[in-house]
Amino acid sequence: MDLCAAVDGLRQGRLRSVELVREAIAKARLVQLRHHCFLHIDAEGAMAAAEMADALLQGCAREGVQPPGALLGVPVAHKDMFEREGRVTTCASKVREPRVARRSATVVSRLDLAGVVDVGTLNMAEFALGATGHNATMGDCRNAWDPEFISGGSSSGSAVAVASGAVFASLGSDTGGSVRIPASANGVVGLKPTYGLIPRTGSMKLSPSIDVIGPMARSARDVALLLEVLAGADGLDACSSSRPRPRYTQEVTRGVEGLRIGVPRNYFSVGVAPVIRDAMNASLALLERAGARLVSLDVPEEVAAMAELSRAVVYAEATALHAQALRSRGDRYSPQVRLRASTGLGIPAPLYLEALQWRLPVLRRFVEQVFSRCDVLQTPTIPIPVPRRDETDVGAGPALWELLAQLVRCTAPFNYLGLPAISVPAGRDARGLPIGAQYTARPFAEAALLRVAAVQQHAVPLALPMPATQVASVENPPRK
Amino acid sequence: MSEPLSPSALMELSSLSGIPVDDTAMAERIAAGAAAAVEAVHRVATVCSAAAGQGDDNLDPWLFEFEPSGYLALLEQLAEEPR
Repeated sequence: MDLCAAVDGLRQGRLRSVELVREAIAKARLVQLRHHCFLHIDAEGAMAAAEMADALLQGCAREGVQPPGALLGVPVAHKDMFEREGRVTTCASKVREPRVARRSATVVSRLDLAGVVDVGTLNMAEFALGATGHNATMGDCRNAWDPEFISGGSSSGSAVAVASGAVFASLGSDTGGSVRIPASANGVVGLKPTYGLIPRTGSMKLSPSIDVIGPMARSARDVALLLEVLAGADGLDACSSSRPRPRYTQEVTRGVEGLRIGVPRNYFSVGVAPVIRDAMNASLALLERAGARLVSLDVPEEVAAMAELSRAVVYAEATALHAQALRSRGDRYSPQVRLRASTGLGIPAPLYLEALQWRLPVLRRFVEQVFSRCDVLQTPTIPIPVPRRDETDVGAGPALWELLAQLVRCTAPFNYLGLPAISVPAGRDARGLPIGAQYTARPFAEAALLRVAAVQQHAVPLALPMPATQVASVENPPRK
Repeated sequence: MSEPLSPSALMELSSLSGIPVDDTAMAERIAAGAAAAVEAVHRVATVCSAAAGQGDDNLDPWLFEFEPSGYLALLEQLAEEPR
């Protein structure tokens, strides 16, 4: 069952929110034993909210009126970086002094208004600085399909909680691939929207010039529904767009007839593992059968530098944001995160600004060259099979850095460009671990991405459910 | 192109900014992490200037056209109208 099916069931009286939330909490507790995706499970608060949602749903049914809120009674949880009034947000770190938020993040308020039931907070990379799901402070989050493999990050808990069926949807943030990498590694749908589509007010900053917030769920139609709730300027985030938006829930059903899918001949197709390449080709074949037209093309040469350009911006801004904490309580950071948070020291200010300056002509050139020839560009989300946790942990040797670079190789360029990108399940490798296909489009063309994702997911329904948690047991707790 | 910062230069920057760097090993790691990003700025400048038919010394786009704060406006400009 996906989010849309849960909403339908609740509205038609076939489901009760208390049942969904009780099941969510039970799954959350079970998944937590081996996958460590939650930081906090709020069983009492969630059950109380579910009872209120049921009362509202039943009252509306009696009165014959539509219930308020597009997501009334549905259990969700988010990585712990979105402020909620009256609650402490940890950012999965022990660096900050606990501070009770005086307001809720815009995205949290919008979901609350839509009626969701928040069942807790989710694990993530400390301060979102990491693409693997390791967290030396809070404990590593592990892959939903096999805990010996990485969950991906930084929105590690979000992807694992959705994949395991503990929640129907979750918010992530994406500065280098932090929604799409864990979505790919755990077999769920994750959207990095166009920069500026979803306001970030009240959300933790990592690199304000690049940060976006994105929804993760089990299906493309779920993501469409979430996007309708989340998108649109809030008047507070100066970098949010107020341009008109389409009805994503209608667009997602349109199919791909006539859509041009770009297939890169260079960069994104180089160094791709055979099993991933086969999955990409299979996805293209099914899209072609569904009426899409494939267009082979070259992406601009400078794409090869974009992942690093993105890092120049992210490192410089992250070091500036963390500077005071690094000075006063640097010892509270986990060593790897402190190192990453300090890397901006090595980026001269003029070069940081030059990286930002170049973004404009590079973006224009990319859109004109690529999206004049296609509507949607396909690449792998991660060009290699999901790595093991020990391969990507501290002390893994010199191969570690190459592996980490591979994780963001196909995602980070689109952070630099600010373009929308979606990761959708595209099969599994021989070890049973998910593979994700990434689709990107011109700015604010999320509707085209959702159309492609819906068609692909219909043919490759891999987002559900979850083998690993089914064998979890109390006798087999997570290793630190 | 550019050489990575030396650990001693990194330690100087650490001292200047007050952001502590524990030792040479940490300085080397930071310098290595930053070097690739710095190199990428050089690389994209070369590639894009050549592609645009500009000389490396062409100041005009920077002085008269590109403004980093115009990024969101450019994204909106490059979008297609919603159906």
